[in-house]
Amino acid sequence: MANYIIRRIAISLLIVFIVSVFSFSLLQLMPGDPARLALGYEASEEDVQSLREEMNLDKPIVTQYLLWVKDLVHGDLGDSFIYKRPVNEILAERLPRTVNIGVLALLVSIPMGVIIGVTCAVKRGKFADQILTFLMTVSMGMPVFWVGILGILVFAIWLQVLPIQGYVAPTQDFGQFLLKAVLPVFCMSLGMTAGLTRQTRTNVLDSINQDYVLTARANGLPESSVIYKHALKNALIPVVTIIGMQVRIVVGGSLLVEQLFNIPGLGSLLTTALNNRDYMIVQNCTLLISLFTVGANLLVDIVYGFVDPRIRAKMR
Amino acid sequence: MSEHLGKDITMEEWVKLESKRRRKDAAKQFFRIFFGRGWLSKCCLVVLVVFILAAVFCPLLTVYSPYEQSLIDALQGPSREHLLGTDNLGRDLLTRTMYGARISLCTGLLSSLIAMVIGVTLGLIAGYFGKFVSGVIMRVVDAQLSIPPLILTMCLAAIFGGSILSISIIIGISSVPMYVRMVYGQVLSLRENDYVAAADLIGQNKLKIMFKHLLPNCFATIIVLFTGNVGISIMIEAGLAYLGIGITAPTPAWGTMVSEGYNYFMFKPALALVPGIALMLLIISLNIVGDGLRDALDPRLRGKL
Repeated sequence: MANYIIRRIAISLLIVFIVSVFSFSLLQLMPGDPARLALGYEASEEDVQSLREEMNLDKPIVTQYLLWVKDLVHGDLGDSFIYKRPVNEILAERLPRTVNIGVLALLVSIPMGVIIGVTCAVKRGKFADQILTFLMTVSMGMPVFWVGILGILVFAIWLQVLPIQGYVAPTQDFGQFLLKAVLPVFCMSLGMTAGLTRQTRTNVLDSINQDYVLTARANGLPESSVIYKHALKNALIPVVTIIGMQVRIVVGGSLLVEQLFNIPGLGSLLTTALNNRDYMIVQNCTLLISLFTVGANLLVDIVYGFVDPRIRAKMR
Repeated sequence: MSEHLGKDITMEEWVKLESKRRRKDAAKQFFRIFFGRGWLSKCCLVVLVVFILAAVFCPLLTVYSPYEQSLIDALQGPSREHLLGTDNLGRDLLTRTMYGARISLCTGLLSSLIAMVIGVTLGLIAGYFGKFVSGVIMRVVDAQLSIPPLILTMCLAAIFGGSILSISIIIGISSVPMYVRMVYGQVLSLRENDYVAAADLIGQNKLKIMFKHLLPNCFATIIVLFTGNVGISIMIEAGLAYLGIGITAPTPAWGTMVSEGYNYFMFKPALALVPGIALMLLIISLNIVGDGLRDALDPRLRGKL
């Protein structure tokens, strides 16, 4: 087991390295000179030159990368060009909002997806399965922002039961937070629920056709025990990996949801930063989001190894 | 086999006839499954064809231009001249929606094509060549997978600009990992077959083995991935356009139209709803037709893709 965990961590570190190279090169590849952008167009050539030296932009590219990593490890992410404040301060302010909404979306979609998926598999071919599968196909075809706009139209404008947009911190007013989070969480979790349902349904159907399920039935176990005790246990293990993959979809969706519902989180920060060419923020946001995904996947892999001995054996 | 028995033919002719018959049977089977899937998939096929026709022939179907503004006609309701009304700059909504189909289908198809070419090549190489090559390719793919596709495309769009071609390339790059993983998995199992070992033994070129023996066996998977990917690409393109990154304002992309129309949502919701409904219908029908294609091409793939 220790061997397995060490290997997973080594692979994750390798991925972190590749991702960090990508984030680093964003600053180099984006159009415009970062030092000039930071100081504005009125600044004198000498000031720009001295800032270039301060930002290490005059050094060879490998040195620049190493210095950048050194600063990162020390927690110095540079200053934002637009906000004129340290990036880590801005990130610390924005991150909890995205995490709150994202975690709620995961908490809603994982049980929903698993429950609907199992229902579909157990009642395969029947009316309930057909209608649920159809609904899931429809929701998979709806972009996040479109779900949001429909939700606003129905619940905020026609029925007037939910607020159109905005965000309140849960520490400030928990009831308001939940009320304002309903639509964003719904948008983010719909696509995820659909994907999870589809995967769960196939996995459960697969395992229902296995020999050990046939044996359980032949031994005269009640149907509920066959499904819930024997078939489900094996079918749900692969679902764990999919949940790891879903994290990046949540983060991607947060960009659209935060734009639509005016939530000042990480996603809207990244969108405005890209439009304003605030590259320090773009660079660090991208890196942070990728680190989150890598971390989530590592966690899932390790849990997966604990649950399923076959995976550990395969890695050797 | 029996239908050729008793006839005076050589072995070679028999093989020809037999393979012709099998191909015909396979084609028949394909059409039977593809068209025999109930009213829903038939409707979706019709919707898809309508969208494609509208995208191809939009200049012939309408007298208006999607760009020309006419502020006197701004924000009109549906009328004889403007079937769906006009937007805030007096442009015909129906015209813009039809041109939007052109942009969505173009970027969707082009980017899936690009992703397919790059992804399949990398997948073949990773699967067929040794551990080191596959290790490098698969780790890069894993790293790319840890960046959400929308964020990756946004960053790349900021670097490479927002023409339809560059957006297609960017979205294409973001879907490469899917193809690589799928083809890699298939090649790993195909490589164990005797015919690959035989080709290797008689000293056949590695490239020839890859593209003549391994690739054709992946075709079903690749086609199914491709059709599924068109919908995903269209969705990413719409998301980018909605955020105003990449394809921007005057271009009649559906995402841009929804985000612009949302400003007038309170008193003229049609501006955001019409392009949104078009977007939704196109993606859903693409997905359902893709599912049909998957079942007809290779029923074993059901649930895996």
